[in-house]
Amino acid sequence: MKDVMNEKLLLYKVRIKRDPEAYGLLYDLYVKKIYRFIFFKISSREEAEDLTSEVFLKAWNYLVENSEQEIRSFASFIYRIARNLVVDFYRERAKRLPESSLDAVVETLVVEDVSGEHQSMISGEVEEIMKTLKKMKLEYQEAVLLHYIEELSAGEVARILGKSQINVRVTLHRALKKLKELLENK
Amino acid sequence: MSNILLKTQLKTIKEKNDRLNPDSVWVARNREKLMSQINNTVSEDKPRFRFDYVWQAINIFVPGRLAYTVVRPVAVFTLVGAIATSGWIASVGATQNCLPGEVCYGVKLAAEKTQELVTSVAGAKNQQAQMYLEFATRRAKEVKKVIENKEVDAPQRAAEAMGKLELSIQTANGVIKEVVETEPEKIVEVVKGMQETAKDINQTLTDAAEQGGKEVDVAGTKQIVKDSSLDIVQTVVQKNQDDSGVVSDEDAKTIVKTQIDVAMQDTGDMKSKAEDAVKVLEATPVTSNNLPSDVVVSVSSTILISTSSIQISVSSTTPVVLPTSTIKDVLGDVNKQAIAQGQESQKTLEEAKVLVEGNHLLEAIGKVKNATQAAEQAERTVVEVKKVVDAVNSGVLNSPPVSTTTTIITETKK
Repeated sequence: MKDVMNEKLLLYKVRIKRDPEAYGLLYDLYVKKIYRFIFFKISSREEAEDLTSEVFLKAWNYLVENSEQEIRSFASFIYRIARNLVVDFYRERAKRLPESSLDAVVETLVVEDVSGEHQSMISGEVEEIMKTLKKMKLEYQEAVLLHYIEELSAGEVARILGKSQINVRVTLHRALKKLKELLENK
Repeated sequence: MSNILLKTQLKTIKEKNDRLNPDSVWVARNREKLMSQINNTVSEDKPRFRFDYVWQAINIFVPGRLAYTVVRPVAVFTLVGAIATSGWIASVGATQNCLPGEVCYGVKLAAEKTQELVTSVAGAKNQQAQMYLEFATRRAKEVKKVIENKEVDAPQRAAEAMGKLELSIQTANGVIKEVVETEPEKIVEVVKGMQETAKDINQTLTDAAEQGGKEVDVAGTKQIVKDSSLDIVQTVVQKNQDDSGVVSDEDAKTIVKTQIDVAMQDTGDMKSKAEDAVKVLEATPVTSNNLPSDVVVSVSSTILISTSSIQISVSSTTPVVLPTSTIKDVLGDVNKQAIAQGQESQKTLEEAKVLVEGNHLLEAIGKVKNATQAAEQAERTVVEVKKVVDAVNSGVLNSPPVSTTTTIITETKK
């Protein structure tokens, strides 16, 4: 509760007073989460870093330029920006690889296996879970990542994904069931 | 693998898998870079205040769902109500100085009607009585202002306000009588307030008449106010006689004494006016007036203590000469009789005081009534005489056409 209030206060300072220091504190709270969210989707450290930087800069510009717009949760706001930037990222890639459709590229990239040096860093069950998760539908991946890994509430996940809370709960249930099935079948 | 275990593993992935987390050096460097970028975008101008900032501030301390489902609708409703109310209050406040005949006067009266309605639903009878007395006081002030402004239609405007004043006083009278029955414990306080108000109203109307309101007859309204006050005092005294548990003897005595003091003051004022009028009349030079044909100056002074009747009639088809000395004599006599009437009223009031001391309150009230009525009629006489004296002094009677009939006093008293 205290964290939520603190976050709202920081958001208020950013929007009404355009306080960079307050935004710095919000950055500290969310930079790792946003990086993980992006990295999980594109699996490239450099590109995840670039996109994360862009997310925070874009969020700041939006907040100070649209202070009349209602933002109920900074978490859902920043995740939505990250999500949109990831989609833009894949769209750009699709243009560069015209033979592949956007969906195909997205699917390919998200299902891209964890390989090389990175693979060596992951071990055991965690590695299995990550691999299996990436093989699931994008919808399931996002729901599991945001709710179970990043520990966002179902309401926040619903706002980020633009779905109803009930829909998110159903998706989470199905995603967890599917993940469990895939892990047991290995 | 159980669901719980799977959930736990998912939850710990971010801690167990370093690769998923950003490099701390990059995090710090990126922060620095970001701060530098956003500092460049911050302008020196502070953002302007807007009402939705208040809402955003409230939102910090109220849980999200509660804020949107409860606090926000309530806040909006309250705000709308406050704006509507303050708008109404501002409009009504702006009309407080409006006078009869002005466009905004209707709004002022509408506001009073609203107040009347609210008080009749939610207020006690004593509050209602006080409200009507307050309205009557406002009307008296309006009469005075209208006369002071000296507009062409001032008499009509003043008459409108006086009509409403009389109505408020009569309504207050009815409500106060109800207070005697429904809230007897409040009656003494209410009657004292009413006596004070009646005194103020009479003073205001007297001032208004002196401001040059020759064509405005305030005497009738003053009489109604005085009669109403006396009527209430009589009701309270009667209540005291019937049940001294409701109105104590001491309170009843105090109320009657106050009424006597007010009447004594009024009578004294009337006498002073009559004495002044005599002095003015004596200073009027004796000349001849060329009166036009068919002019009748009629002075009938049978109202006074003596039953003498003085009448001057000029009825002719050709202009006639009427010496001012004749008019002076007649008017002087009337004034002197008014003074005598004042003395007689004062004597009656002194008798009333004695009756109060002997606890004969109802008889005392009867005396006060007689004295007040006589003094009031004498005062009217003095006012009318003053008008004629002013007319003679200003030479109005020399300039035809004057009114075909100038009646100074028409009332008679048995």
